[in-house]
Amino acid sequence: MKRTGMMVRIGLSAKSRLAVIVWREVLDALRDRRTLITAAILPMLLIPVSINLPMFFISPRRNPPDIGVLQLDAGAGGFAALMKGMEELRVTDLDQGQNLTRLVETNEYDVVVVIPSNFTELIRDERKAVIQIIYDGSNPRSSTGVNLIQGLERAYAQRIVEERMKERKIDPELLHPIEVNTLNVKGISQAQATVGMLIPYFIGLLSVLAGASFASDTTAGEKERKTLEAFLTMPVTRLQILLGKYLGVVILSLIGVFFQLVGMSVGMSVYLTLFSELLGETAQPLHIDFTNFSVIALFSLILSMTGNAILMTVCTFAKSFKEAQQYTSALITGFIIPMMLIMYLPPALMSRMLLLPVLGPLIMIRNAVFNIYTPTQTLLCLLSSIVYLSVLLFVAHKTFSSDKILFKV
Amino acid sequence: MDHIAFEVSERIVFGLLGPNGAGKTTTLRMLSTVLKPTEGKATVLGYDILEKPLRIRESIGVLPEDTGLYDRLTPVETLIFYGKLHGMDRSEIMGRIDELLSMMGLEAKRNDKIGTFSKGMKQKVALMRAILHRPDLLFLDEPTAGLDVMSARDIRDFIARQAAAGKTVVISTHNMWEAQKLCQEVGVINKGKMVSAGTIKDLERLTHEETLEDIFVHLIKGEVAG
Repeated sequence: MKRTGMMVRIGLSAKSRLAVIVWREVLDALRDRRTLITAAILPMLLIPVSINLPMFFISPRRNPPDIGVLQLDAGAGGFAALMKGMEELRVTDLDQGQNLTRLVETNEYDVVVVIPSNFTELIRDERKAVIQIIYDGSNPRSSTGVNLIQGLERAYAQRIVEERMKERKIDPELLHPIEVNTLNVKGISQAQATVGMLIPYFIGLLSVLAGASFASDTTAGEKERKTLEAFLTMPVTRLQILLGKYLGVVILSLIGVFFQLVGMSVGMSVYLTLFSELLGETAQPLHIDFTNFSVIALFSLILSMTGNAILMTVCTFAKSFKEAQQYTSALITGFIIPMMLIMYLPPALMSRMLLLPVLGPLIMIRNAVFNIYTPTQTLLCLLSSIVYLSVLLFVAHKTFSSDKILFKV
Repeated sequence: MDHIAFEVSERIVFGLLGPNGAGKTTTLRMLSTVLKPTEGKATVLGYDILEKPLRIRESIGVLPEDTGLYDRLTPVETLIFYGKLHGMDRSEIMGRIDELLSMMGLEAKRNDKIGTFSKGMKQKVALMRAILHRPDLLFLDEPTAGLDVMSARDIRDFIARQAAAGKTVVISTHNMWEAQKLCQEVGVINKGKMVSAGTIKDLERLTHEETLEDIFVHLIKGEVAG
């Protein structure tokens, strides 16, 4: 074909063209009502509900278990009164002759407590009195009720023992020959540790969950809608197109993560306000200072970038959005393994795994939550993550540059 | 494609004719630098398609087989996006958008989402995208396929106007009537090979047939027999 002339344009730089591609990716995705609903509105509404609604049914303070008490010993009012005085239990006296097992089976009562006719006599004679508890293990309210009653029983038994010892002029302290003093070296409570271990799990999981649909849409979705070909006739390289799409996916997934974290924060605040009794120990908030917050944000970004680079590479092989979603489901299952692992790995092993992809940033997030990391660890993990990310983007570029993969020719 | 060789003169409409699966779309994709040939050489506007793909893309306009438009964007947003990728500045793009929307009769639809458009309207937006940056050469793959009579006529008028304005237009089609009406030169392609190429008069002399449809059938049957 002969040359008919040349057009010279002094226009946008490569960086600006990249920004134009990112702008279109984000605008197109945000225009999709389904995306807005699934990425922003639903997480903000559903996460708080999903955290708190089950708790409402489990919390004895909000929804006390129904306890039926069959008191065969009229004189044994002490233990029954203790139960009735507890606001976490809704206690009703039962009459004799009822099928007690059936009452629990049919969920008329969550727990039935039978105080035997010789209860007072056995206690008075310093013999063992047996209280019968009938419950349904498949009913969480029933299990909660049993736990509360057993707690009461232990306190009641302790009181009886102390009274007997006093009668014999024996110091009740004799019952406690050993006292344990604990020193928590990092000052992190069990509840804080649980929350701290859940943070990297959720950040990691949310980044790939949020990125999966965007990565599928911008690669396989564009192929399916046949919008990619026109794009490829523009004076931009495939690397620029890939990077523009990739950065768009990262931005969109971070927006998704943000809304999901907002939903989680709202949900947790409601949880701590309404159901603090379920935490067992005093709920102390985790204090994360600005430096640690920055480290968490940095490695969350790396985690999102790594996950989305893998997602985009794999989704490029798919011919349709549906096929890409099948790939992403498998990948997400794979991602869950390191995220679960982080909750149970011994700390000594974690320090040796800092240089591994995905796992390293997850460990750094966990360590930043607990403020137990060194600058060297941060630097090493950061450098290794950059190396992995470069390799992943190189593979993604090779994949995106292949006509065989893009056009199946 | 199998060692295809042809040359297109400047400022004409060149028709790439062939049955389904002959390789018309693949040829256009290679010339517009979307696909890389595994071997061989081609130059577009003097540039090698493997060595200078970006220079070629700056100077060509492409209408792919499918319009390839983003349904959730408006025509204005679409053209701003592609205009910026072509390195045009915003004021230049906006001026050109007004001009093109008026030319295609789509002023009233400038802020409507493309997803709500008819096939003919989408084809017009895709053509606007192809000529937005005033390219010298247009590659149009089946530009009137599946369009109603009025839309197809608008597109044919558009192609004729481009040729009259001195642009070179390469179209692929299997509508022989359309090719005869629009093209000064044609190339008949079958099973990835160029069977014959030249002006319609040249092909009439070669095949002793009178209409382009008869020429086409003659050449394809000859190829099959050969």
